[in-house]
Amino acid sequence: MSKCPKCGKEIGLFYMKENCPHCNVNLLYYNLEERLKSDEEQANKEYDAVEKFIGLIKLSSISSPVLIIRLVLFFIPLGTMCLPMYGDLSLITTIKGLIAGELDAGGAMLELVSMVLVIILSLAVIIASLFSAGKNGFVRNMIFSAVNTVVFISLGIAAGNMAVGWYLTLAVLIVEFVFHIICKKSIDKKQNVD
Amino acid sequence: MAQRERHYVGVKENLAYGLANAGQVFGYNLNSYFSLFFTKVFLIPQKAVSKMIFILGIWDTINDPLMGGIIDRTRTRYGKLRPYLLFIPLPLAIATVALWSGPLFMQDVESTTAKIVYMYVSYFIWEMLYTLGDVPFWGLSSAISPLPSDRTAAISSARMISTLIGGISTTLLVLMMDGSENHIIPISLPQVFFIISLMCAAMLLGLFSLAGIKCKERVVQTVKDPSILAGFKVLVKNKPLLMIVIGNVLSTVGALAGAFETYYYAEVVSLNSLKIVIAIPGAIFGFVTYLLIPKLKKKFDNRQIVFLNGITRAVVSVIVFLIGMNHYNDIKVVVPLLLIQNFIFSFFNTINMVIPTEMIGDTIDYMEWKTGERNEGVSFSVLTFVGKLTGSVSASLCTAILPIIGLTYQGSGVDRVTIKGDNTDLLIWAFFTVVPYVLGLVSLIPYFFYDLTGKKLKKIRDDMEVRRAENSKAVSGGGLDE
Repeated sequence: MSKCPKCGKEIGLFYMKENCPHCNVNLLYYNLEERLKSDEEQANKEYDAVEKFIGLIKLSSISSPVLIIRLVLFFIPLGTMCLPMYGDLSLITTIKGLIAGELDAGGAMLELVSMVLVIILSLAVIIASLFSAGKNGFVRNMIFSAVNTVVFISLGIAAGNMAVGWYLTLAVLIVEFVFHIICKKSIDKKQNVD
Repeated sequence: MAQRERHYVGVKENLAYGLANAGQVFGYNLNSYFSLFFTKVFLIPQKAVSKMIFILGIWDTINDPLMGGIIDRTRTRYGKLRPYLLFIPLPLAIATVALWSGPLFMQDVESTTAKIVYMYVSYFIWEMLYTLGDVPFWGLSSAISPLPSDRTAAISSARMISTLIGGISTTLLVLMMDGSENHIIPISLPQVFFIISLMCAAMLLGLFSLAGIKCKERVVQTVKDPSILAGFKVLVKNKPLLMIVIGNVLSTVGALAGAFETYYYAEVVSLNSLKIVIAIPGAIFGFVTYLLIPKLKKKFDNRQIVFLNGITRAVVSVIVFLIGMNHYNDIKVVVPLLLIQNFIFSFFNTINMVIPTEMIGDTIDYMEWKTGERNEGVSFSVLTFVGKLTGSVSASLCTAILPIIGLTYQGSGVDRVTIKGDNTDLLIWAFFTVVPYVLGLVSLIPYFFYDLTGKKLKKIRDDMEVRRAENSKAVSGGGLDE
């Protein structure tokens, strides 16, 4: 049940006609100007809050070329992990082996955990980087990247038999630290200008 | 600080519109598996599937504009589009389950004819209901507000959220298919499709219905009872819309890439799940791209963006094809290559999802400016029809091309054997990477004649703003009928 905005009488939910059955006013357009004004006020309030949030993410992720390069850099481990990581084992051969049931998951547990954790922790690094311009953003980025790198190195050493993909992935993870520092300067500069 | 654009549509309403689209495309995305589903799971002969997709594609040429015309004639107290968005989700959910559950419902039926009949009936009903939901949904992107900024935001929200959530269905499907075929999960392929279809139904009911419940129509429809015929006449006079339609029809070959993608992962590298890994960077970058659209629009007009999109895709696809020409089945080469391609394409995919819809909105304004009548129904039915036509024709073309390039299947169920010719893998690689994008360049030709840009578009928008303000004032006291 709803009420006619003009005469206030009740109208059934499934009454579909445009005009009020009681006063014949057009129910869709009655008081349209006022409703548009009220919609605009409400929309402005909502946009104020969101713009603040989006502004933070924009400033943190795409406000300068160096930030965009960092964003791209985060995804490179996905490519390097497709190269041999541990002996002949790569991300692709792992997925293929698991699906085909040819990989001994128990025997290659450390290698598997290492690859899965890099993906999960890299995602965490990416998400953290979207808030680089926020309070403690830089410290948070460094901590997340440090955890990712330390875990990767520890598991790599424990598993042994590291191959080209592992070293390249490690190199990318280390380069991420450098980029966090460069990006911090870029963000600080932008914030000072604004 | 730059002055913020005006908005009538708030963030919550945009979010509802976006979530609604996600609920809608969650099931629609499965369409890229039509060909595979009907041939491999329902075990219907390739020729029959190809024929059905083609015939119903032709039916769409009548059905879609007809539905659009009916929608344009609708006048209710909820608006002209919202009633459909309120009442379609339930029957559409039921039809979706029926469509994808054929192999399960008919598992004891041996007759191929019976299966073909089921395929025709279920697809026909599903398609008709989908149109009745889809046309008003996109029509609402134009009627949700008279302001272009609101429309861009609504379309972006819809595309962005649907990209994020809508893709989950195909991701789940691929994983479950791999799991089922390799006996990792103890369910058959028909059961996989049934489970996924139930999820699609839940998404339709839970999310798609939000468009009708939470969104409003804010553009005054000045004509009280337009005739269907008048709607079509207006459409023919709408030259910019015709150019978009011709461009979209010509882009059918471009859609072949999507159809062949499925076969590439399934038959060349034999790893359906690889598609997910390849899509990850692009999906995330594509999400960020939505933030760049307003910046891009400051530098280029919509037509220039269309050109930029088509040409860049063609160039990148040629490079990818040439690099992978001798390594198309070597995943060590192909994975990084496709990751990079996907990353670049994701930028243009995002733009491609917003700009053409916005351009249709401009053509509706143009006709209102010219004739005084708005035709969201007919105009967007053309867009959705062309979208389905390109999807159907490309799926049909793909199914027809497969035997020509030497890919056939023999036997059924676990005994099914894939037969390939000497160059089949290379040809699948070519149809997946380069052929569709290079041939797709012809779709740019009509845009040379699209003129809703620059000063002309500005004049239309300025004139319409004045007219709408007058209209709102005129109807606020009780509407045109008072």
